[in-house]
Amino acid sequence: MSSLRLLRSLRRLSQVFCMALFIWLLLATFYHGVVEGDQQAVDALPYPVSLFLQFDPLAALSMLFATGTLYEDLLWSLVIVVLTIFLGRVFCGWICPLGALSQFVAWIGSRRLTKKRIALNQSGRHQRIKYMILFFFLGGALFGTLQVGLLDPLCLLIRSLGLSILPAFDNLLRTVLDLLSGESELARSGHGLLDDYFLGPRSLTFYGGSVLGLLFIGILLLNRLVPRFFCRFVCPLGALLGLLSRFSLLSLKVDREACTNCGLCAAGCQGAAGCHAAAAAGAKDSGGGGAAWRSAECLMCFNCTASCKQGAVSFGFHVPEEGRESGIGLSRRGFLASSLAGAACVPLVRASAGPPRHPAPELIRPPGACGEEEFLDRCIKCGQCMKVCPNHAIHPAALQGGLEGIWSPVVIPRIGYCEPSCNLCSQVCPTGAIRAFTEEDKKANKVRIGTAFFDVGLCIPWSQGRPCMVCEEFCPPSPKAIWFETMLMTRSDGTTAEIPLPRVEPERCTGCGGCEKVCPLPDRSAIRVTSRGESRHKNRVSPT
Amino acid sequence: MAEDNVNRRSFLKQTLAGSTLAAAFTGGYFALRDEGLSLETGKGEVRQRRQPVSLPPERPALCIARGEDPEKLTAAAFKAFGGLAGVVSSGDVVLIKPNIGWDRPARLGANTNPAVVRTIARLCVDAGAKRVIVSDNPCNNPVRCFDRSGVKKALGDLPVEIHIPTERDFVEIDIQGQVVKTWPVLRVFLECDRLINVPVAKHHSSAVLTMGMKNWYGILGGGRRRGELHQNMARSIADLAAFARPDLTVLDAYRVVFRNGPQGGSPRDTREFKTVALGTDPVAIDAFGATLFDLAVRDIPYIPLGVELGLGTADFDSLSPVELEV
Repeated sequence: MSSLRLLRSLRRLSQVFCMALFIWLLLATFYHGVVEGDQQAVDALPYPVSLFLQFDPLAALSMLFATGTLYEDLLWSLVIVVLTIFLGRVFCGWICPLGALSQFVAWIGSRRLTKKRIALNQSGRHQRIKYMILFFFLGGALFGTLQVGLLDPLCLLIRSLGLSILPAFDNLLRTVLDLLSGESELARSGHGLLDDYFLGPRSLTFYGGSVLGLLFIGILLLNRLVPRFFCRFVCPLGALLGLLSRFSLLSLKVDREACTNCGLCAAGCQGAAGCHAAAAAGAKDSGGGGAAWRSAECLMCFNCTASCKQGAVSFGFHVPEEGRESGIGLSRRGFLASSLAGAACVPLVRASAGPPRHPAPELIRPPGACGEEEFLDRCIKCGQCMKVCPNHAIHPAALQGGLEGIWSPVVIPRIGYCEPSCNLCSQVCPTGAIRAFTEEDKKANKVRIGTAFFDVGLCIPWSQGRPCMVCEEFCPPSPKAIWFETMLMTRSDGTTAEIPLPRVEPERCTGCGGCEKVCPLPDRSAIRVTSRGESRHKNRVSPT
Repeated sequence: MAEDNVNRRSFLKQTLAGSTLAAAFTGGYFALRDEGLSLETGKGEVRQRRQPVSLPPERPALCIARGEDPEKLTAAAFKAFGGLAGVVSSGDVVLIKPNIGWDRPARLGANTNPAVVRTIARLCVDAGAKRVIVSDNPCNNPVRCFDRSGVKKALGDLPVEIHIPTERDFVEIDIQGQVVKTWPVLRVFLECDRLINVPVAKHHSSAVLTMGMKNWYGILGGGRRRGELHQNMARSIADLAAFARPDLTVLDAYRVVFRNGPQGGSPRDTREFKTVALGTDPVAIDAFGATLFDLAVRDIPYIPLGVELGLGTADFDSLSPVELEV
């Protein structure tokens, strides 16, 4: 095998490895038991589950723009920055799991003719859209809203796989197991395997999960139209790396003597980086032309070098030849326009009544979350807190937090309550949107997410004069926040009885939502948590 | 034109086949899902009620051990009782049912003491049991409860199955109680040969105290539905006690929650009674437990109901308990 082909094989290996690592870390974003601490057991998180995000320069840069600080956990992304400056967009071609998946979807079962493939991989003007998207998001971040997570490929992939695709797959596998063998031993051990090694024993579904899944499938299917559609036209991280790779030392070289201008090098060109154009430009008989290899678009996939039958295409560390250009294709005017559009969108998305300036009773953030404005400057909507929550309390928001808060984490206590002993969401948050806290902080009511209130028209003792005390039994603080006042109740038939009526002492309530979760009514809970009294807003700390 | 016809026919055929397949898949999927939903309404299976082992009358019916070390206490109580002879024989499948209801560490007393569970599990293994299963269906996240209670760790090196229930580990059973009718019941409970109840004694806000009879809430599934039973607490406890009929009850009253139960939550809510009581009469054990909290039998509504159902006696002194200091 020639060294030119070797590089392609290595790239494929690297993609498979990174994809596998990514999936494994996503599955490991899970409750793993406890380790004994000095005082008591604390939740263990044995694997670096945020690894990929920590290497994401876009997350680091946009947070720098939004908050004015560089978050130390994201400093690893400098590795990618340096790598890109020297070697170009190797992250996109060799590491990015969404890139690998896109490439796979474009390739599998494709019966497209070589001629057609060559045509599809020609550079086009639309590739600059991703730079506009990048500047749009950065402009927005500079003026106060961090929305880059909507399209950052790593956030997109964690969110879509973790909250939608994997749960759907789990559901499918379990349905098939039941179809095949019902109550048999095979079905039981199949379920056992899924319990132990996949998503755990409780079937996971997330609020609005199907929307995330459908969008993701859509993004993948676009690769059937144009290979690596997302990478070429949309990806803001790819755009950032493209900018960084403008002067990368590793560059394409075409042996003009050997090139026959066959165009095969473009048949597998992942980034539509114009390698064929570059070859054509330099080919003996061509007129020269103005087109050239675009370093900012090249994903360093090495398909061109491997497919050239003449061995005319190669990469090397050399001073770029004449004819090479970065190929960003975004004019100064385009840069300014998209940045300003992003900045201008900030007041626009806020031109709607709602949080953070108006009350949002249902916007219950995970424990340890920063105040709402800083939270929105930090949260990249990756969904790791949702994936890790052992009680499935945290879900991607719809409009509870306004347009800016779409897919940011929100606690829905009726689906899952916040376990007082747990701090896993803070452990996995890659950007410090959820600050570190301990079990003791929760117990001492330093970290509280809301306050519970009774709906006495629904509550069984209040409305029907029958005793019920499930919420009180479940209430975790000591002393409990829920207490009873025994009162003489008259029922509709005129009989009277002494009934203990549950009440909430708001100062003791942490808003964990256990009461709301376990209320035995079949539909709406008779006790519900609102965001009142959440500790992240110091000026609003009193629940009363 | 002939070719066109064939194409049209094959097109129709393919469409038909495709939609049938899709309909079958969708139908099958929803049929299965409906089956899952029917848990709420279906009529459960009727099983023959289990009968506890009968032991020779010369064996003590109640052994009460007091002392400093929970493991030694439990071992001493078993020794006074005559070990597991006649209760667990070689080849038996034994279910040990502790109370691991809450995501709380052992020092808060909300769950059965891990040392007590461990001692009993080891005795069962030594008695030659084929399988020793430890299971409970907690109120908080089951995996967390087993981890943080310390029970899983305490059983670590023993050949014991720790069964943490999932929603698929329950069978719909007609419990035939006065208020507890059809409920999902833990499968391992239905399949075991011998049953050892290992409750912890605790204050309980709605049941006054939770001890042995109340511990059978933990074999029920049904999620949120379990809360319905709280509207008639005493009767449902009696119904479940009549259904469960353990061979032995070992009451852990080493460290108890005496207020703010059943969860406690602070060391200030606990007290150390440093007592383990072991016996065959589930009602007598609970009656004895009540005295530790300075309560009388009439203060605990489900104890008289248990007597009424013929599950045992509330007059535990009549069993001439063996009391020992360890």
